[in-house]
Amino acid sequence: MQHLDDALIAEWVDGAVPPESPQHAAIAAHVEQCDECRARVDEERALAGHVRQLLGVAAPPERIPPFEEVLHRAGTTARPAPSSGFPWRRLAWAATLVVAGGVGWYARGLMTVSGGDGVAAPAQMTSRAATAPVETMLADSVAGQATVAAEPTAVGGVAQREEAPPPSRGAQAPPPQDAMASRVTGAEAQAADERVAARRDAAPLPAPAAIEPRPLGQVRERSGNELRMQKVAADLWVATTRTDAERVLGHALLTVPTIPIIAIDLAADSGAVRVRQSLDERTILELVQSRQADVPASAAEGVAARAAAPREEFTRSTPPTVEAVVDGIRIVLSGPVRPDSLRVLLGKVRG
Amino acid sequence: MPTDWAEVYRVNFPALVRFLYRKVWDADRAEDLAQEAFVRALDHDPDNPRAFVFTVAANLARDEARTAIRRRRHLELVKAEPRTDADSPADELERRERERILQAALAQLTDRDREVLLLWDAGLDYDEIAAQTGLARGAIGTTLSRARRRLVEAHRALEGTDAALG
Repeated sequence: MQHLDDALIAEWVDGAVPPESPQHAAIAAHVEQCDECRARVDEERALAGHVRQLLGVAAPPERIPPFEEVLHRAGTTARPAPSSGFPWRRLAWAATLVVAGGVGWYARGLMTVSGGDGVAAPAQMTSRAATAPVETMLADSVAGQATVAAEPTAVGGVAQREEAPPPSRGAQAPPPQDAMASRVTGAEAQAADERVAARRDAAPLPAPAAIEPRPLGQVRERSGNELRMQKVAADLWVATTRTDAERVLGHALLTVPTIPIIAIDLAADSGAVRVRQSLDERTILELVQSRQADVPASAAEGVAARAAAPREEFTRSTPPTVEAVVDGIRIVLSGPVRPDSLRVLLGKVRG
Repeated sequence: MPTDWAEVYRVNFPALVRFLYRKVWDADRAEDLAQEAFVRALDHDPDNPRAFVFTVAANLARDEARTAIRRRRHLELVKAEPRTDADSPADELERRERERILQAALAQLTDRDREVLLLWDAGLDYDEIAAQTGLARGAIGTTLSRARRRLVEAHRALEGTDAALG
């Protein structure tokens, strides 16, 4: 028998030569008596082992979600293909970046928290944030300085935070939003209403344990709009996973690069997703996004382009806030932050 | 005999996620796409479920890569999350660095070599790899051998470059 070629050596090493085939016996005999081929087989085997070792570096944590999750997804009739195009145009969302921060406000908030008020206020605030139009959310955040994280926590975790009760609304509300923001707000409110109505009509989601695997062909009979959600209390933000958040949004989660994510929350009643990122040890950045009004593809380019824009691009108002509307995205910084903070943040976005 | 999908899922899901991860480099996204591949398999009830889900997964990852390019062009909103199972920040840093080198080494392979290599590592046999890639069955061994060799060479060169840069 001639020496083995590379293809045959690879097949031999990979066990791709059927043991019952005559070729198997012939190769085994040849390798046994041919030092050269045996050395090449050993070399190929070592190479294969080394490659497996190298590839093993890129192995995500092994986790097998319950098969019921797949059944749920299969039963969701209005399910978009997740990767048939990045959904800037197709999928709607409205986003608001809110930076409320500063150690002074933080300390002030700690001092003013008292008894039951301090407990009740965050739920009330977050409830409104989950359902309110963008303008209202901004007004609350700016006026209330409500969200300040004490310390960043692990990804996906819930930030340990102290929150001050929001002061009276409207006392320091920002000026009226521009036309773009109004359009986003209107679309967001309308879409939220539609979602609430749809959810009201949908059958309650059965617990995963109650779902029995069904024969093929029947899985599609499940009622539509079934989404796996954590047990939630109505009208609240609840911690969720990136996977579930993206499932709700129907597209990849929007985050700002290089800034650690400390929490991802889902609004129980509106389907909005809130990503909280720790800009620094005192400042939290919130990105609220929904699957709603269409965002122009140029929005992202706008952010990047304006990151380098001079400071005069942005307006100043009282109380100290810096505002910018970049297409559909409204960014507001407030509190004792540096005047160029927005530019710094946009610089990060621009990367 | 009807397919036991729960078993097919249990056996193949981890390998499918690994396969996808080395294409999209995002654990959550890889898991999500793997589930989507199974959802589509449930719709089609293919004769060879494993080959089907890998084929669908490869297509999903390809679409994902295209949109990722478009996404980067628009805005650099990337995921910069640490893995939560790391022992320490130093370990995590080291893991990321090793992964970065591997990613760069894989990127130096041709599309065909890389695809064959990743399918092989995912546990597909030569017939399944041939069916998925469209290569002749007899060409798989040669392609695999070459891909393995080139990956190791590229990896070694990149490691050397990194070491030289200090």
